[in-house]
Amino acid sequence: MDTLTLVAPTPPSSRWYRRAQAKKRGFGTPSWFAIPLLAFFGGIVAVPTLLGVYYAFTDWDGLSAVPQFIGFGNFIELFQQPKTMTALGNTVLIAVCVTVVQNGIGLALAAGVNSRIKSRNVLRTLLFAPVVMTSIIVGYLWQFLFVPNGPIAQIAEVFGIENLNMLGNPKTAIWGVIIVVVWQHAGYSMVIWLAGMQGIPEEITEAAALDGAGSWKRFVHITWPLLRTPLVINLTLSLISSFKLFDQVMATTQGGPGYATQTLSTLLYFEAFQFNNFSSGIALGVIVFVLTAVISFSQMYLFRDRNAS
Amino acid sequence: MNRYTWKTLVLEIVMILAAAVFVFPLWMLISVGFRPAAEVAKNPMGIPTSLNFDNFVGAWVEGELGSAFLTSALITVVSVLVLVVIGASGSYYFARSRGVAGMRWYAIVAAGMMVPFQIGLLPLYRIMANVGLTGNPIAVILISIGIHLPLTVILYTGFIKKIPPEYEEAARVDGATPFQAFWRIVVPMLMPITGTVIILNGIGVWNEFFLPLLYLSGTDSVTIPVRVYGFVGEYGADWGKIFAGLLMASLPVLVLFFLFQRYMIKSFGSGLKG
Amino acid sequence: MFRKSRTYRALVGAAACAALAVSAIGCSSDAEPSGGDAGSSSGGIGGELTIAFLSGDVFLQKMIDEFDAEYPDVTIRDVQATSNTYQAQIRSQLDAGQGPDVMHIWTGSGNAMAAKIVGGAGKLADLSDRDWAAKMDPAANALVALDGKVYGHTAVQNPYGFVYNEALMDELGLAVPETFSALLDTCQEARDKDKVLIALGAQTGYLAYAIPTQLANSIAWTKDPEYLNKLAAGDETWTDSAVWKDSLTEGLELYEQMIDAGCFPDNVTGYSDDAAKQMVAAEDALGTYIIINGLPTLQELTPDTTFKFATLPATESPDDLVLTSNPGSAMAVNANSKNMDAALAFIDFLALPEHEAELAEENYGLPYTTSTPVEFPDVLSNVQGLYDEGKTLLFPTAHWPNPEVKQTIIAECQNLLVGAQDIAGVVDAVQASFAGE
Repeated sequence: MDTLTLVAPTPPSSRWYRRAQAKKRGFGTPSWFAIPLLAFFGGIVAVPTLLGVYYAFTDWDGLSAVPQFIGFGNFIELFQQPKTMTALGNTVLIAVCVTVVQNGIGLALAAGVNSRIKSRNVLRTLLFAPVVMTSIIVGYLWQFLFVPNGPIAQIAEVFGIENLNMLGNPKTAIWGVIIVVVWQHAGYSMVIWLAGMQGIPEEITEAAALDGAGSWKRFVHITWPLLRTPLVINLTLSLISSFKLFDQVMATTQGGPGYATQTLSTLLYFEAFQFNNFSSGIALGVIVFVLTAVISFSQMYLFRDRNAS
Repeated sequence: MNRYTWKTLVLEIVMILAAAVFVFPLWMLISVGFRPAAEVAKNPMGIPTSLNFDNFVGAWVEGELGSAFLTSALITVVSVLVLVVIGASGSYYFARSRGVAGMRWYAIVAAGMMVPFQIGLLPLYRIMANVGLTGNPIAVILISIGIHLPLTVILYTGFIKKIPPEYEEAARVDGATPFQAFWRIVVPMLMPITGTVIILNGIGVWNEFFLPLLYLSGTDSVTIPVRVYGFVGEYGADWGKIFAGLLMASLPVLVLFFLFQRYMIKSFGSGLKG
Repeated sequence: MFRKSRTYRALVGAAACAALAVSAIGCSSDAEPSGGDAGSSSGGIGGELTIAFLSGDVFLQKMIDEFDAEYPDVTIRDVQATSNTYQAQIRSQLDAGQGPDVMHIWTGSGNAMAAKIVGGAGKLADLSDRDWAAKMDPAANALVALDGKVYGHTAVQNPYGFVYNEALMDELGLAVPETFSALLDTCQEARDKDKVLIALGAQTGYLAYAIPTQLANSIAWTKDPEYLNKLAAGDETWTDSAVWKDSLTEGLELYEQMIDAGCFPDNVTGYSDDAAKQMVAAEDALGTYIIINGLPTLQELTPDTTFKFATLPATESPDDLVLTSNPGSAMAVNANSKNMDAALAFIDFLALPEHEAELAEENYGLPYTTSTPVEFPDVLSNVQGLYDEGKTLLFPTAHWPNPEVKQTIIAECQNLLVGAQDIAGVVDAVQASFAGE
């Protein structure tokens, strides 16, 4: 408001009048700024998705001519199949574990790399390297690594774990997938944490150090509370992307052995393209969307900024 | 705190060990990439005794990686450019609109992030077929832009909202058009977050797999991920070429990261402040 | 002031470059639309031809090269994929009326890209008026025809069984078993010598269910040699056929005995098809269980090894041995192909008798009827007798009524291998999936 007073030429005296003038000129932004964006979004995301959702309520198989409307038939059928519930459980398990472990490791790595160690630039690049790799090829890489008596198994023997069959044993297969995803994305979390840490003014931490607080205490009481924003971002991004997880699972186990690593996204793919059952697949897609939305919004609500001005 | 104490040395060693564990798969990529397939079959964990470039050359030639690099680069650069331009301007509207309309549109676009791409896959392909764009990289560019808009908008809108609107209001009072206010005041301040947008979207578009597979298979413009996937055969995989291909595909992006990491982390950081 | 700044100039420069680039790719791509334009110039085959097939198909690659040489006006674009992505990619394209001009399809109806499924949806051209269609072997015809329309060309069947390292077997003093108990003994002997008899790539779905299905198939054949034909013709249904159900149960029991006898590597579900082949190449295993057209890939890993093929016995009588073969791939034409002339020319090219003979050679395939003269590949010498006597049988998947059965049996067999499922459970799940649950 003060700026306005300085800049406006010979204004009539009342503040009210100036504000009215400002409103008349419309200090909002004209909507044409957003038209290209909304056009792209509408044409590429919104319209096809709405068209696609229609198929979830039909019995269309993906190729033949005319779909018949069947209401919620697909959804009912899906929820009656045990493999849907298995996929649902797997998806949630993966989402939770990946989010916690990936961000935890990312935090630890960020803390380490944020220090004065000499190799930090090289380390940061190496740790970020998996992020820039194509997901499906990363999946194949780990399929190669996890072969029984292969590289990982041989290393595991050194630690006393005999006969490691990570991806072939239904109890461990899903942890294998989690390891792959965490490995690929930990660097991403690390960079976001790092950014948050570097936004913390050094004076505060130095003052605390001078006051005698050890590094752990400094971290818990000063650094951590200021990392709220990177925390929210990391949580949201990793939750959303792990619900949609597909490439890595397809390349390593294709959902096997049995249904041990079947996720909602891989089940979607199988139903839509390999079972000649397209509408079921789309119905699963709708389920994924609803699930993602519910969990994301809950998480954002839980972590909302209660101190926002 | 700026001194290199013995504690720092310990931390350095710990971090190097941690990184070694992390980087072990990358080492495998190199080890398999530089050895012939028969040798790898007999001894998966071996160390390359000599740098055998057959896999790299083979992957480059067979996979026509040269032209794939050009295609990938073209698609990525154009997509990211358009994303930055329309993302920034659109987010400006969302952030600065006075009514609820702006925030409503923002919510819709942001929610787009949660939509699995498979739902719209077939209808979108049909649309593209009807306008004759299948087999054309422009289709991949357009779709990549659409897919990455939600994240772009989230980043930009959040950032712009943190910029005090007083400067723009002052300019507007001075008689500036909205566009001038945007261009002269906001855009220069958007440089840090634009760095983040460029890197995140760049990585995403570069590594797109199924999209180019569906739209561009069989044409001259195939992207790198599809080409490297081509070495995975129905009856057996040519690991040497796959890994060599992956290394070659990742190297440019990684070098870019190494050169710009400080700027990027700073831009992430300023995007997160507050 | 901003207009003169470096950032501004950089942005303008970048925008100009982008605009140029976009128009460049746009224009150059317009000049070569996928699928070809109406390039069939009068009197000649020309234009573009897009052919899609599974990667690693050595024979088809050779055919493409030869066709290219013979018809230089045709530009061939090949699309190769693995079955992981093939169905999704091609079906999406076909749905929109696009897709390759010529494509690989599976035969029968047991797969989402199978002849009857895709043809039945009207996406494949009817080839029944081609010269070779009338001469097709009835068995082959049954696999690619629906309601009198022929949707693809298929000429050979590929033996499905145990491919082993001949020299290593001799070295260890092991003989090819002709009865089931001999098979178990051989497995045991191999283990005693620290080798595995059959490296099974059970992580790759279709290999997990291959052996019990082959055994079940063989057992059903001994009960009723016509059982598969009856089911294919619809005289019986899979859900009601007692012969099938009992045979499946028995086959699974034999499978379990093989598992217990150590025929397969420990942690078998951790090995993909490719990893199993690596095991054979490293001589940790004597052989692997594959469809014979996967042999060229194995041969590349160990070029100096001689491999032989054997079929696994299911009973105690060597007379019950029957050669199980997987229906070979079929090639079909897109009903909406933009270059129909070239596409049909290519299929006709494949159907030439000399090429059918070559196919047999390259992929070790066998024609459906013994009357077609073929030089019997050395690899298959063990089963030549069976083939000549007409003791051949198709692997049943092609005649399964819907694609879901295959996925169900894959998952259940993987569970069986890790001990998470019992035989009755597998049978029930499989039978239920036949009914289209």
